[in-house]
Amino acid sequence: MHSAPEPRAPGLGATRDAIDDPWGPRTPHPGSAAIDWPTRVDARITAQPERWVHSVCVLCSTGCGMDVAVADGRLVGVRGRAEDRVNHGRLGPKGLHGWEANQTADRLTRPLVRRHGELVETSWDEALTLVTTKAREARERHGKGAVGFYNSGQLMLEEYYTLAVLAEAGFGTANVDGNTRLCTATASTALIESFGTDGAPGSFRDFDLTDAMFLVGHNMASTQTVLWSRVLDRLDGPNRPRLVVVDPRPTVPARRADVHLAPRPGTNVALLNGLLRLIIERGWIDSAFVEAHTTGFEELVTTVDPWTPERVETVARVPAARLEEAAEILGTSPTLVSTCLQGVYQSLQATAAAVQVNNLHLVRGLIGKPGATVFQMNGQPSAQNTRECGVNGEFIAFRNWHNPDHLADTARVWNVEPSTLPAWTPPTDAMHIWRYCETGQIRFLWIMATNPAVSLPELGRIHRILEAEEPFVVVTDAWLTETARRADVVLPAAIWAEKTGCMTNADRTVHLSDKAIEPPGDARPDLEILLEVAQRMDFRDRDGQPLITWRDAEGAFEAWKACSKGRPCDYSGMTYAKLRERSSIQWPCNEEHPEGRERLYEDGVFNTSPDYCETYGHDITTGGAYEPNEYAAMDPGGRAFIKGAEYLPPPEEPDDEYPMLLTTGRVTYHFHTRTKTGRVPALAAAAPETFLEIHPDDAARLHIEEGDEVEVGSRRGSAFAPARLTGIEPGVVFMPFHYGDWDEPGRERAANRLTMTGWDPVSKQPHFKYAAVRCRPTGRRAETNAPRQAAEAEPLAAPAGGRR
Amino acid sequence: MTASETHRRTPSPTGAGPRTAAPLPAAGTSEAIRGQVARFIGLAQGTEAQLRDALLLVAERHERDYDVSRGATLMAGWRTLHLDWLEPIEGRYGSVPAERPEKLRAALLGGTRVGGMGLLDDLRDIALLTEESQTTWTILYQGARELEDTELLRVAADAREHDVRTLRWLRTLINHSAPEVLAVAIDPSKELEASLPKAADRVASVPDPLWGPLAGMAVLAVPAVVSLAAGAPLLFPSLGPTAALVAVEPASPASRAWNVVVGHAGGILAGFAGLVVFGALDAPTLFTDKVLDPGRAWASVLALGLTILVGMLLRANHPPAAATTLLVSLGGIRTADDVLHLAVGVVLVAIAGELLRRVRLQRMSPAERAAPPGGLVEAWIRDRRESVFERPPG
Repeated sequence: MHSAPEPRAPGLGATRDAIDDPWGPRTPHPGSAAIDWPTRVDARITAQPERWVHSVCVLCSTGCGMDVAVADGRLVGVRGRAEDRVNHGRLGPKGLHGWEANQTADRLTRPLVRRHGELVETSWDEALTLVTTKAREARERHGKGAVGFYNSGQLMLEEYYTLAVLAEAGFGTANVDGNTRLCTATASTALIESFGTDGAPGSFRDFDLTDAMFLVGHNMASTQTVLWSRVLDRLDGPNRPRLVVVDPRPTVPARRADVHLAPRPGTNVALLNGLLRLIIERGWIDSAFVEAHTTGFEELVTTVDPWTPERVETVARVPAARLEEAAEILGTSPTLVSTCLQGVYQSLQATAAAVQVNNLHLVRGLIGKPGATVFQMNGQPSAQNTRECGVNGEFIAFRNWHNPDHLADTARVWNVEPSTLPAWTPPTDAMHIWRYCETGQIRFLWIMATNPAVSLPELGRIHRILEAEEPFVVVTDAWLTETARRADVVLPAAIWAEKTGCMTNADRTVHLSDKAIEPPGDARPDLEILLEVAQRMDFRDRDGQPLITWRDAEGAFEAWKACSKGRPCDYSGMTYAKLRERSSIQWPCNEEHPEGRERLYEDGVFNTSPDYCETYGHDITTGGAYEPNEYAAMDPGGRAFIKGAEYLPPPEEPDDEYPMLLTTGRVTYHFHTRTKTGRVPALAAAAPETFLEIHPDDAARLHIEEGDEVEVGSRRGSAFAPARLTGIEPGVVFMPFHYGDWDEPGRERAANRLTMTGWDPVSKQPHFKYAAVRCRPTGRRAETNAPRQAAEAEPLAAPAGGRR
Repeated sequence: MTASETHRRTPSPTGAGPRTAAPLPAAGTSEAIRGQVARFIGLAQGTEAQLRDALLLVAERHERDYDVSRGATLMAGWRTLHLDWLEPIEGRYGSVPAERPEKLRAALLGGTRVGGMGLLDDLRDIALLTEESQTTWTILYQGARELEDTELLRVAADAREHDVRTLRWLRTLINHSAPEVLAVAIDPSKELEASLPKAADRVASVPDPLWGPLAGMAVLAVPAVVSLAAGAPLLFPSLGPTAALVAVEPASPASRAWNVVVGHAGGILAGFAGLVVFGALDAPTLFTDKVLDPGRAWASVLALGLTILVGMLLRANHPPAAATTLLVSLGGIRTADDVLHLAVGVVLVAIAGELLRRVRLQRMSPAERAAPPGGLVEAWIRDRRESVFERPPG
């Protein structure tokens, strides 16, 4: 075992090689309340720093506290903050290397506008005049709903809040959503449906204290490397917790699991119903908790009843014996931490499946206690903030669109007439925003800090929409992404480390990231751009004063504090100074909890009271919304909802033409569409090329060998990738979704060329992890040997292999 | 299921609850009561079948609105399930076929339904049919309580709950789409291009102005072609209204092959019966002699009444058949050969018309499409039949 390197004094170079070992040396511990997770400060610096600046890592949803090193006006390195409650000093491969992207030569430095089909440089004044002219024209000639905003999970809280006021109170459009719809919408809806409002009930510290973990569709080793280090320190320590993993791929966590369940894609609800049935049947439930703190248990019993282990085996192809082993761990462990991620959210029946994991904790009474909680995880660093700020389909600060008091309260905070706020409908989700662009209703679309031309499903369709004459497309980004290349106006944005603002992670921990360096050229922070557009549009409040009164990030934060006061995500007790001093603070932070609150629902009282809840709930099978009177009749009275769900058949079945199932996902070294990570030499070299994971039996049948280029085809398009033979389930293939064509224009390798335009009825999150496909070798060998990602390849060592 | 349902269950049976061993009614009940229940079982079956077909039609028309298409397909599966539940109940009470559901359906879902407006129109129509289903099940539910028919009670309660969930789903979709459809300017050509189903053979979505004329011509072309080939006259004036009706109102009960064939047969018989009554079989005809014989005039009047009566008694209402009636009573059809030719023409039109209306209504095999073998609905049905539920302790 290694001891932690000396904290706070890293020399030049790196404290560890995070490419070869993404999780770093172990600091095992027995998991007792008396012992904190040991610190281990990871750092990497390339020149002697002149100063260190308080910040946070922005390349996953863990939110590791870090300081960035600055010398000569440039970033020269990073180090983890030992005192930070999230990471205790650690940083992962993306955190240690990702900052290099800020200083790449191809950053956008001047606004671009399309003239005669070409994007040409122009001034900010000219670009913003064009933007506001087009926006005003769309709104005045075609209606408020002709304007749409598609934002991101990578901006900062202050920017989201400003966008919310600008779009909802200014433009008055309901068409505001983020690409967080693709990653965390289901986390939000699952929490709301069960507990009344959004917000993770637990704390990352619960991983240190638990007796068992349940990772459902969550390849934590790849998506959240530092959190996986935290888990490894338990798995490799004394008093090892037991681990159950649900994943169709033999991922790193799956290979460390006591029980690995590999269901057929699209069958999560069948599998989880089977687990719940066993746990109920064996009597492993906390009847007192169920009686006192939940409603709906009887219906759950009825719904899961048909799901015998044998039936689960037929539908999900999980052996009955394996299911029983898993149920015993989940049913008998005195504490349990469960996490869900994209394997749930981006698969079929997303909300229904995620809610079943909540149900597991509710029937066992394992929530709101140390070591006992459920995480509906996030994907992106500030996904939580898009939800809090109401630019991801929710109403501001977890208020309820259908509650007239909440609407009046928002109108009071913003000093506008309630009737001007688009509360006549729930905010339009991203998939419908794109649909309205396709049908011609949206004529002005502003895309901020994201890359739908790679990340959305059925890319052929998305490219047609972006390339059509209408809508007029504005893109704010730091690089000329696949999306920006198709825009009418491109605004160069300042990014992390070049601006100040807050980000909130998946356990409600708020970090402040201070500005460390100047942005390149004329690039400006999104906040400044939004404020200038608000000014140019001359939006006013009901007293005729400017709608938006703040001029900087701290001003926006202060306004947000007032808006969030009294709601679950209460920031009113925080200040920038306090955030710098404490390193990070969990919300709610207010008079009652001045240092933040580690766990919610400790008293078993949930946020379901009709005047406090965030929605009135949905039929999680159909997406039908309950009316206020129906909700009142349920009388939850602070009890959590247990909502059962029928298993539904998939929207397309494999057939003779498309006999295999494609699931998509992530690799350790890349984030989203590689806009940053693909430009960092060490990360790009670690995962240079896409690949197609396929089982050796399938490969043999199709005459595919390791490294052969394969054409993968679906009803929507085709993509090319080198084959990689692994222990994935037979009949299932996997492709990472990161790889577009900005670095190799024209390459047809994006996994989303294959995926379907289909989504969950409640969360509206697309089904990225389910598509019927066919595979055939093209006869070419891949130019790059794709399978070189250490963190994927080693544990996935091909059964047919001998490759390494 | 859903949270609200926890508050619904009073005496009501649960979806997968244990099968009761108590004797079921019907065997001992009077024939009169059985007949009364059978009437509503027929209504329920008719409504379920119409709603299932309507949902499948909407699913295909709006396949590019994924949530609509997916939800409608799921709910069509519920309807198949209900029809399966009704089978043993029909075995006990019988079932009186009802025309009401088909007529209701015929008044709905017609016209050119594309884009946001078309979607709203279709959602409204599905809501109306679902309301119809809900009231029918309510009637059966209340009756089953007095009859103490636990099986019917359970089926009615669960089916009605599906109606409630369908209406909730419809309301949610309408709430979402109405503002964007009504309050934002539409670019019709762009919307049309973005809304047509992807597969070209989805004839259910061909606009009416295209479908109507083409289908009418196709139907009448069949006797025309056979006529010319066989050298026998098979085209008659009364086939025109039939071809037009089938083309324009394919969903109407009057357009069914049964109505076409029985309707025209009734017309022929009624026409001759009128002539016999007024002794005008050999009177001068309007067609050859250009005079209206009083016997033929009164025979026509009587024959029309008989035609309508026959249509009603045999559930074969078909207004174009009245043209056949007058063709006979006014002397256009006189010989056995004439009758044979007319009958062949009618049968050809009926067959062609039935094929086209089934294509148009996407009704070639709705049950199979709603419940593909090995699919979900099959599993649901199996669950219901072999409920193995035992309530666990706690």
